[in-house]
Amino acid sequence: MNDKFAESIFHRRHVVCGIRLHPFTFAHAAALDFAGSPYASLTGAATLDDVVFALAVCRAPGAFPIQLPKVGFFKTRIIAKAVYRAGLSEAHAALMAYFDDYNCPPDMWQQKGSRAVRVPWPLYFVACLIRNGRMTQKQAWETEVGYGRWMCAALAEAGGNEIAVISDAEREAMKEAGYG
Amino acid sequence: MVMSQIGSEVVQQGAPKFANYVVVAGTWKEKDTTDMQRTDDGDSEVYNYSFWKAGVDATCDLIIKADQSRLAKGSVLSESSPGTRAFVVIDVETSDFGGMPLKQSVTLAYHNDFTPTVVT
Repeated sequence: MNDKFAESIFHRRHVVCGIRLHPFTFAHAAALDFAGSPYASLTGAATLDDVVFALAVCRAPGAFPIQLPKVGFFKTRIIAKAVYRAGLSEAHAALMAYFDDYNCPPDMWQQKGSRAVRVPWPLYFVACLIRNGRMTQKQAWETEVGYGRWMCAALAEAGGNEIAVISDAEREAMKEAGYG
Repeated sequence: MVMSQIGSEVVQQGAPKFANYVVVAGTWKEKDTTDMQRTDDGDSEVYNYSFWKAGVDATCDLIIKADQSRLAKGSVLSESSPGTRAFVVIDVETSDFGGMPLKQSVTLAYHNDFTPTVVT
């Protein structure tokens, strides 16, 4: 089995700064994206506010309709205290491990003529799951991100499209060629 | 070489190795392109065949090793093992990953006793 697909199926329990996080779904991703969180794109350095907001989002079930957590000094001070105690960089690293665990899409070769998606990325995959996977809106938004992205690729391939997922043999060859 | 064979064999089982490129497992496909013609009169109990222009056409996917350059049409790709064949790149298509050109799907040609030389 492809390692990344296995990663998208099997998860460990994530507790960050004493806060247990729920499985990361497209609803979580949309909430982070809506708030402009750097964790939505998994890029950039995160501030204390970013870490607190991400923890506030992901400690709740990623359910549809999407709800943003109430933030502010009095609403999130317990989370902020926990992050402060654990240390910002440790909390950030633990959050990244959580996102890496749940958001592990298939690696794809960049296809010629491919274009960037213009709608928010969680919405794009949710639309794929609804259109091709015949899911309801609720089911699609509550799908775990990595698994949902693999499902979109599989549905596209099952529909007769050529999907340029990097194969296990290609991954082995890439390792041998010095690409980790 | 077996005693019943004329010349050295050009078709080899398995993918060759190249110094600066890694062949993706299972993608190496080759075809013996040696020309052949029956040269007896067709009316004898002795069968004669002529073979010439021994060669191989092959296709495969290659991963470019770190810091190595891409192949282009007309490039010469020399085998490092098991033989020392020099293939000419007939066609090539490059795929990117992470913004880097990493994979090349190539069509190669080799002919026995020829020495490909790139002239610019």
